[in-house]
Amino acid sequence: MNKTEKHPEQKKQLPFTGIKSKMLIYFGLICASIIIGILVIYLFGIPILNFHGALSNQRVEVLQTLNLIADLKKERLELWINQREHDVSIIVNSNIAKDLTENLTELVRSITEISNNSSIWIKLQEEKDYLDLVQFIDNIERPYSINEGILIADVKTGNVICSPDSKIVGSNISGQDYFMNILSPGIFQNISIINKHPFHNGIEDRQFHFVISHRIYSSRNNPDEAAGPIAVLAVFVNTDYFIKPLLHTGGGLGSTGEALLVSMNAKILSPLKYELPDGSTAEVLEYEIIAKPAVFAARGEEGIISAIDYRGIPVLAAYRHILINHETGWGLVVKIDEEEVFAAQRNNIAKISIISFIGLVMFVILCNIFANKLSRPIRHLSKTAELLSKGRLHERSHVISNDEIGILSSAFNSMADQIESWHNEFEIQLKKRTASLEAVNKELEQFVFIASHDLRSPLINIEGYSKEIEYDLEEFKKIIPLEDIPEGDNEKYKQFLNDEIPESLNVIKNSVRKMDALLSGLLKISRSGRAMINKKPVNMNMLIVEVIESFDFEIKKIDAELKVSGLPDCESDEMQLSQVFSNLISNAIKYRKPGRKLKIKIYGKKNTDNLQYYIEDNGIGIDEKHVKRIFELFQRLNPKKTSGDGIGLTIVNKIMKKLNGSINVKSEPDKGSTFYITLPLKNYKESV
Amino acid sequence: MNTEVVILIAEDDDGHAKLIKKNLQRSGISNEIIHFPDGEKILDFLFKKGPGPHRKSGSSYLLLLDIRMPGINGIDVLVQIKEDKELRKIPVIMITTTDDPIEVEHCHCLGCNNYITKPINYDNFIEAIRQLGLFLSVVQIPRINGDKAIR
Repeated sequence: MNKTEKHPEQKKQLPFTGIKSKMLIYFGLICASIIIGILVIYLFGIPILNFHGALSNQRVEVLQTLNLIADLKKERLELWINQREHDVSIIVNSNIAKDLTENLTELVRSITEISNNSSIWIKLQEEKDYLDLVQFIDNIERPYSINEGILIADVKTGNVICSPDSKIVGSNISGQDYFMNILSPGIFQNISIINKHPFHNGIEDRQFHFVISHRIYSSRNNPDEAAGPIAVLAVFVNTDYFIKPLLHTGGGLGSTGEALLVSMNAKILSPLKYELPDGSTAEVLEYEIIAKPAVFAARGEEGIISAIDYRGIPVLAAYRHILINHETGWGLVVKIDEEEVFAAQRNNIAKISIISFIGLVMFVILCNIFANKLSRPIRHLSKTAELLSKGRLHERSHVISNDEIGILSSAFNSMADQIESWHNEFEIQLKKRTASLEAVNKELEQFVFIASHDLRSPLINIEGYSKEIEYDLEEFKKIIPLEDIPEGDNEKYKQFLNDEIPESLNVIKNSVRKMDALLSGLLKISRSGRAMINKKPVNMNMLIVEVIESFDFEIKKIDAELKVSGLPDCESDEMQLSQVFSNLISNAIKYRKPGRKLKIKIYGKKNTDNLQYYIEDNGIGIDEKHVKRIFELFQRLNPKKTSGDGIGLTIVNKIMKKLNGSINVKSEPDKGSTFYITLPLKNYKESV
Repeated sequence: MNTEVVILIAEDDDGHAKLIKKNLQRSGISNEIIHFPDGEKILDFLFKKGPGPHRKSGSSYLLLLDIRMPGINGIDVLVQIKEDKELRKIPVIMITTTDDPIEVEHCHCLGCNNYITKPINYDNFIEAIRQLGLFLSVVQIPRINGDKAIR
């Protein structure tokens, strides 16, 4: 058995196809998908199980916070407005104020009936009732510095009849909302937003102010009476002191969060934290927000929402409605950018991802250790099997364990034992056979050698003495002249001496020559069997030229055409190869088609695993039924027509076998034959 | 050729020996010819052993030696002759039935002077013997245990 023989199916293992790599890949994939799955579930939840993910939870949490903040701010704002209203109600419900107002009203009315000169307002301020009333309302205005101003105006004329700020006394407010609204039936108190008021010389300051106006009734009359109010109290509230701190302090809105207050028609009441998308700054009381939370809040709705704010950025918002007058009120919105809300979550995701990655790496390391441990016996086993299959039959698996691999291992070992014992037995048998075959072969060749050698000796004698008899016959004829023989016997002697004896001698000689041809053929074969093969690189073109030169005479004689095209070189025995080509060319000449110009083409080619040389002729060709026999011993297809010993192709065949090559023929009768020999590309070890 | 030269033929086949003798004589060689039927006899003769005839000192000999002989074959005889200081002077012509080039080469290596194949074709055989005769007529045959080579 050839131990270096390779099985084609045993290819080199590709990377990542080993059991260990597979384990690593599979385990790693499982681990990675578990981690990714947990991450996804953690973030987005499982809808069917009513499990909300972290993102959803975060959202809910933020919305709850926003709700709380909005509620708190709303409550505080309402409380504060209530306090302001309470301030107002202290005045309007005070009998002193009522009486003083009534007195003053009547006084002013009586004066203005006489004269409408502005000087009357200066005189009015010197009245005792006026001073008392101013003192009274001033007490309410001053303590908190909340109120920007306070005034009492006559219902009928709209003239300011009393105010701590003396310069506005006598001015007319009858056209103002806060004055007119209060005169509508059923309305006793009104809160109006203004952007200018008399205390600031009626200049628009683009600031949010509001004024609480309230009816003042006579203390002597029932308020419900049709007599109506006698005057209107208006308190101008400074929002800076409270609303700005209310909106902008308190925390809980992160860095992007913002609280804003809008009027009933959704106009902003406080400056916005951000610029508008076009880069301009929104004007208080001018800019109308169209973002949903503000609109909803102004409309009177309350709730939470995820919406786009005035900048066009997604936000989470809580909106509240603060009832100011009977049906209308302001909207309060607290909001925070979604981005900020989820930024924390994203940060979490990043952290979790890093932790997961570290976990994955550790898992892979552990997997590697375990995969190594688990696959080691299998790898050992497969390595052993591979070595075994390459002919190292003494290799055994050393895996000892009580699991399946252990069972496999011991089964494998006993199989290997069996194979080894078979193999050894086979080898012994083979050696015996080979030895006996060699002996037989040697004996046979020896036999052929001796036989052909020794059988020739008698032939030499037969031939030699036949010739001697011929000589003797000639001598005899000279010694005894025919004339001396009696007449009757003369013809008989003549016949013997001239015909019968020479004819017999000829038959003997011909038979001897035939026998000699057979014997020398045998001898040649026996010799070619004994010849040593000496392999060397052979220049085939040169070899062919030399062979052809030896046929020069014959080729010229029969006017044959020989064409040789570039032959690949080989590594073989030059002597033997030249004998092969010599035989084949000789055959081509011998078996040419009479009357046709002989053309011989010699060419070769190099294949991937062998070399081939072709000798093509246009001779008589070989019938298909004879093709198999031509390489057999003493086969001559046309013994009478051509000369030859009939062993040329047998010898060629034998030589080609010795050179690890082969000879074949393709032929068509009457057209020609192509003999082609195949040689191995590399000089393989001489086969035993 | 000097008629003093004795031609020795070592040939197991009597027929062959006779044919050689006849043809030598026919081609004009009249020297004394002694035939030995095997290797042992020719060695006895040359090394002066045994009961048979022995060579004479001072005579010239030429040996026609067949290779295949029973017992001691031609090659052995050739080896022994060429090992002997004196006998190695004897010209040895190998006569064999085959033209095996290996065998020819072998004999030349051992020191044979010529090589003749016994051809079946009698005409060729005669030609070979004739050439041998020609060879013998030009070659110097040294005396064995003598002083000088003679012509």
